[in-house]
Amino acid sequence: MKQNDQQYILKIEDLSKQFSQKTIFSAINFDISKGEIVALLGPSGCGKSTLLRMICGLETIENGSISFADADEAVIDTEMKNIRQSVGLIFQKPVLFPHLNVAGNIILGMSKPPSRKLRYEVTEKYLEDVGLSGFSTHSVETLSGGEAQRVCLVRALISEPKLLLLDEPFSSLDVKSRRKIAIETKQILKKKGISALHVTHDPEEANLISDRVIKWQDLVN
Amino acid sequence: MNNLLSRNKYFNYFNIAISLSAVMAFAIISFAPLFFAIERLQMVTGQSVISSISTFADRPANMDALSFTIIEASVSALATVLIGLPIAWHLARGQWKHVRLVRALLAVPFVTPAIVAAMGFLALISKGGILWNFGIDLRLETGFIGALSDTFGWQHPGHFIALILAHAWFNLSLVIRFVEPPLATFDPRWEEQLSVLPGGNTRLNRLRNLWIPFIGPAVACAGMMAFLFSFTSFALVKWLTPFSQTMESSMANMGGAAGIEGYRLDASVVILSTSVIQFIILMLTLILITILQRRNNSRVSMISENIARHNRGKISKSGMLIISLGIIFTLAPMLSIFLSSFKIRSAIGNGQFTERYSFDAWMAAWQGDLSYVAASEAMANSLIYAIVTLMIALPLGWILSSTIHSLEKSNKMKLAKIVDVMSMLPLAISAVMVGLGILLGILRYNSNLFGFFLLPVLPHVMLTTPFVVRIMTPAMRAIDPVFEHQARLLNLNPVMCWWHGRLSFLRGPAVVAASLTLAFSLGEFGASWILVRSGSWDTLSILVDQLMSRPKFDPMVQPVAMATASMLMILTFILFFIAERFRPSGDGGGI
Repeated sequence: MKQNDQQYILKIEDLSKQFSQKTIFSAINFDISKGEIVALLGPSGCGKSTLLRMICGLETIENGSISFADADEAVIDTEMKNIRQSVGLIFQKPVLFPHLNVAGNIILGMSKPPSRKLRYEVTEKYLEDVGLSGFSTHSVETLSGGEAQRVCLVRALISEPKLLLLDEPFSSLDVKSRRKIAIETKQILKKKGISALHVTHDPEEANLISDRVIKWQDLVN
Repeated sequence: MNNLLSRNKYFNYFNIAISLSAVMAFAIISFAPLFFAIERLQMVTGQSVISSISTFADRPANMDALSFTIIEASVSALATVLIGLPIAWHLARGQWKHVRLVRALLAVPFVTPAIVAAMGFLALISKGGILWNFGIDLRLETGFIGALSDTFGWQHPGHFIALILAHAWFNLSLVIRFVEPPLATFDPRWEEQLSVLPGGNTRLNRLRNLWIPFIGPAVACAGMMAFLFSFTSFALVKWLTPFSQTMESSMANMGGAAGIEGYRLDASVVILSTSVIQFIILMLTLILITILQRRNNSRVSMISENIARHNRGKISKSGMLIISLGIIFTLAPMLSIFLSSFKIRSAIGNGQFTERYSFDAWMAAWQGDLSYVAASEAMANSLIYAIVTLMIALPLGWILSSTIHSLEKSNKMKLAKIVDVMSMLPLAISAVMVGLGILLGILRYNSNLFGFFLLPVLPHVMLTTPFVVRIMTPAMRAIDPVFEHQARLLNLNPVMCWWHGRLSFLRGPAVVAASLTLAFSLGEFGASWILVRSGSWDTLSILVDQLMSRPKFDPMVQPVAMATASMLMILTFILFFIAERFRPSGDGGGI
């Protein structure tokens, strides 16, 4: 950590990204406080998803730094494994493994999975929070888009991440479902005190889910 | 409109008649000789099929052959997976400049005629061969290979290792064909999602939660296929492990004396009991493969191969090294044959030899002499058999595939499955069993047919038609029916609808099927060895075997055999590369 400031959970300083000598973005600076939900609002293809992938260690950092509250120094490539353990990520399209049922997918988010006997009991408790009681034995292929995304949310939260990254997770849902799930997600995050960075191109969704909205053009200018 | 409807109705009747004829023809071609062969063996031995199973264990040599076959096939399958999996993994996970060429090079062994593969490995392990030069003497079993034998009392470890390597080489492309396409089109999001979850934060966890469920069935399927082909391998066993018998080679060796009343009853008993036991094992293996293939229909998200490769970026150095080693492994036996065909040794006394390189062996092979037919003549025979095989197997396989597809479309799934399994059955009957079936089921009843020039076409059709069906059926399933519907709406006649709605999409797969049918027919060894070895219509693969069987005091024997094998190899590779040219990218089905 460059500054030992415990107020923020994530601090991004002068971060840039290039692909094959093409600059995606340069000198980005912002931070997220503990328990805060921030929405990053920008048009499609501007580099929001790349930023999220850099935060969770799926893309390399060449210039600038990404710091976490509990890290000793600015995070560089070699520490990506540590980052992955403290962040959760939900993709635009739900990624649920079809060879596992709902409970099996959720268990993947637990560092100490319960025994087979307790598996359904444990996952049911979490599923209740997102209105999916009784779904733990369901095949993931029978779920609707909204249900699948809720299971992804449970799986991301069950690992108790310090920061949750949401990469336009509701964009494939209809407007009504999108509003409903955005409000529910905010309630759950607040209840658990988890910070989140939500990227979207929809201003309404950004306002619904977040405590603070950052516009992409303000970041890059 | 009425005209159009009645025209379509007659076309449908015509289709049904053609389909029924093809199914019946295939059933008769494939199963009648075997049925009559079993009838004859039962008559000669006085044993039923069931009682022959109980007499199998009475002869110790049978049990030795069974245990050796199971051991060599299991170890070969394991070695194939261990060698093939890293190659398939690295080939799939990165951007390659000439990925189709690399893939084709690695797939070459599977279409290499078995006798050519046997010659390649003999050249590789013989004195002066590449392995021998590296101090690994698998042929004479000196050095540390000999020490293995002395220390553990293992009989002929060098020969066994050579056989396992040859089987792994031969079946390598099975692992690549089954495992590489799903890996190459695998959506990286799944891997990324798992890597940010505790359930995927270690390699072991990712292996357990992602890779085993995802590619496990494909790997197991490839392993079982490798087991099947190693179990029925004949040419490689004959030449690389001459002191051990598999079930296949023991049947081949005794086949000539079987099925004759009052003569060598033991041969008929061995053939009947061994073929029944082998058929049961092969059927069980095929059933297991079918179950695994069903599981192999992965439901994990796939994306375009080009996008996936682009996302993963350039291949790592270790990946490059593994693929390069794979290509060297693939090419080494073939280069060895080629080089050996030019290398002529001359004795200079005191057990010493000199070596010179010349085209003499190629010239001698092409011209032949009084003791063996010319390669030119054998090549003509091989080509005639291959072309006639193609003329029968391709339309037959096409109609069978079309029948399976039509039945599936009309939701007659059980009937479709029956035709599908029936078309696969010859794969459960090895080449030697097919040859014996014709020998005992047809020729023992009518020996005049020994003089029928086109007799070898029959086993070739039996053995190649299943491959045509395996290539054409998935291609037919992949056609979007909208094109045929559009052609009908344009009021085109049924033939034109078929032409525009189906044939135009099936030309590529048909070329693949045709090239591979020609290649397999050219290289077929087991059945031909039973049927034509004592006739006057030697094919190239039989000629190679005959040449290599001659005493080696003549320094030209081995180079002439290698030159003939090289000719067969070149002919097969031309056909294979034509097939690869037309193979759709990402195709992992069929063969």
